[in-house]
Amino acid sequence: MSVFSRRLLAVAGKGGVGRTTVAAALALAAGARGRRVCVAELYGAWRIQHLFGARARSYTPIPIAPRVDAMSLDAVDCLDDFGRKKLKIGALVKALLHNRVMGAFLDAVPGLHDLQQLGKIENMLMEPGPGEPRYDLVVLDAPATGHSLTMLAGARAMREMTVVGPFHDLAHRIEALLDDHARTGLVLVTLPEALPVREALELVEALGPDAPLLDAIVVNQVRPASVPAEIAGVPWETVRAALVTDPNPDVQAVLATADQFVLRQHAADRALTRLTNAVRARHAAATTCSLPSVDVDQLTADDVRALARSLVHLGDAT
Amino acid sequence: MDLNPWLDRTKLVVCVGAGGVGKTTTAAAIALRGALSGRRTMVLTIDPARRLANSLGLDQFGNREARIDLSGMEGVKPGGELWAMMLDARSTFDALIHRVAPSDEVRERILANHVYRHMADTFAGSQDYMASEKIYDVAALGTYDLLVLDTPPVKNALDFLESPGRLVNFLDERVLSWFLDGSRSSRGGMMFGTSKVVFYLLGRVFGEQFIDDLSQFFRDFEGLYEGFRKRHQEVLDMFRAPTTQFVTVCAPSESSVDVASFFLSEFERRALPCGGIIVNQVHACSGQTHDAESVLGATARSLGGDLPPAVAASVVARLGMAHRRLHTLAMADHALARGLKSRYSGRLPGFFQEVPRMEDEVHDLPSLREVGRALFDQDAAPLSS
Repeated sequence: MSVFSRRLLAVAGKGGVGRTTVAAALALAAGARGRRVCVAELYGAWRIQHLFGARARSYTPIPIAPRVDAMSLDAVDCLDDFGRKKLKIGALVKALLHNRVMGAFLDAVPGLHDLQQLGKIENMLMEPGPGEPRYDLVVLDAPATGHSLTMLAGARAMREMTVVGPFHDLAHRIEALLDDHARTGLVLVTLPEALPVREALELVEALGPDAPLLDAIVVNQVRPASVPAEIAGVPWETVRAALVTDPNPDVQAVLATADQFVLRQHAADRALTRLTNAVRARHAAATTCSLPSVDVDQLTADDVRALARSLVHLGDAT
Repeated sequence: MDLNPWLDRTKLVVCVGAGGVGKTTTAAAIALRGALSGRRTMVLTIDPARRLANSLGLDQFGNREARIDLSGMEGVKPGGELWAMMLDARSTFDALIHRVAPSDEVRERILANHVYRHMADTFAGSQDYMASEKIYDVAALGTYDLLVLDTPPVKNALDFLESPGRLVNFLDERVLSWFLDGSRSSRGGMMFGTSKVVFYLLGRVFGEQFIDDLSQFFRDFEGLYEGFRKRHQEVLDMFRAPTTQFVTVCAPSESSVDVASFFLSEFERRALPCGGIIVNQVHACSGQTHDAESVLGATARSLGGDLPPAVAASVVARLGMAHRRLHTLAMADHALARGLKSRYSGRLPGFFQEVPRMEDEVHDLPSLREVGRALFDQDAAPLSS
């Protein structure tokens, strides 16, 4: 089953691994395969909209490619939406929801903000209102790893705390969507370096039966080895042996540099092998793919389109 | 400046910083260094990388002190012991309720309350607050010469230093008082206007059971407030003591330097004793003082005897690229680190230390000792200059 046949793809990973970029590229790739897609950022972030030329953040999805929209969710917009659609509340009650004390209360209920935003996504997918776009797939730029799991567990906490009522029902629907391995998949983003890969490994091992199904691991920002295993047909070890006895400090400086890169590469390779093995053992259906490093200061929409082309066949080959 | 005397006169080191910068490793390395110098040392950590936890023997301990076996280490001064504890917000929170609850009945009611049970687990901010609670407990015992605290990688890691009303968003005083007044008058049947509508609405939206749980929870918690406040003052005094030192840890990345900078301004604003800045994972380029052309020329000559000229040329070109890349990385790291230092030099006391990037994973005592050497066996720059 291709990742692109899901209804919801949650893109998770530690801060700084390029989660947002991968989420945008995945959405473009799904669009290129004919799916109607929305990529969603949370907590008012609108980096994708900005990257594709928007001047201001928009809660309403805006088109970024054929069949692909981007939206920026935040808890207040989602609460309003929920109030209007589900609670059918009048203007007076709506004003109360915006009351300062109520605001502080709503801020404080554990997990309510996450729940509101996930609830909006569930609603978009499962029961879009008249005049609202109908999406085959939502790609969610999930918060940094630690928080992602809390966020996914938050629906359960809310359901247990509330027992009855609209929020209880909402939590229930979100849980059903996240737990449904046919509808929801997880894409984990990491970097080709020892530490981020080890963190990804810990997450993979921590994913319990209740977590969404792991669909893919994306190793982002892969660059060619600075010191390859062979140079012009000569193994690096042979080159090293020729240099190591030279007493010249300049030569030793070059060698020290090369050693550092070789060590780093080995550490990353070892970690990646462990990750690949763990994924194979625990999540047999998941695929691993890599994205090339884009050596620019400021990523452009064209860069993301190029990355999307590398992802179009994600999960097909197996 | 030598950091050894600094550590000798410090009784509590608090490490703050962004995630992924090696904060836990740094805290463990500082603690190990303290133990090696003959002090009874405890490192308190939250959610450490699992392999580090395993190597410290921490996996099966929640909120309990575990002694780390140093018998394999050479040169531990007499009296030196290393202990570690993994902080668990939930059990610390439970212990706190046990301590401040006015009666057994109230205590049991709080511990069984739905809202409390979820709050203690998922609550933003509870971890930091509980970390400060736990360390106060441990410090009050007086059994350790040195404590090292590893804080969670969040920007509000210092919020536990605010007034107890802000410790816990959930207990925001405005909400609390409104809620208590509202629910009290609702019980007495004297609720009017806004309160009535809001309570009706809350009940409709969240379910009456939840609102009842919440009201009960708030009423029970109100009685604990004074206990919280008193204890908070004692915790604050401990963090402001001159033998306490706050250290910010970062890596040479824009985002972690921004976080470090934020914490340094917080040290300044809250008048916390600033120990210094540690920049981890700095690329070191041993050739950076050399002239690239001559370095590569020497390499080419060195290879000339062993490899055919065409191969030697490819090798030199490749090594030249690697060397330039490392040089660029080292320069960029250095510029970021210096930028951070210059922003605070003269404003805060303390040290500025760079720790070179280690390509191998730091997950056992010998590699932690290496980190300690990088920290303490090379002179640090004073932040004042």
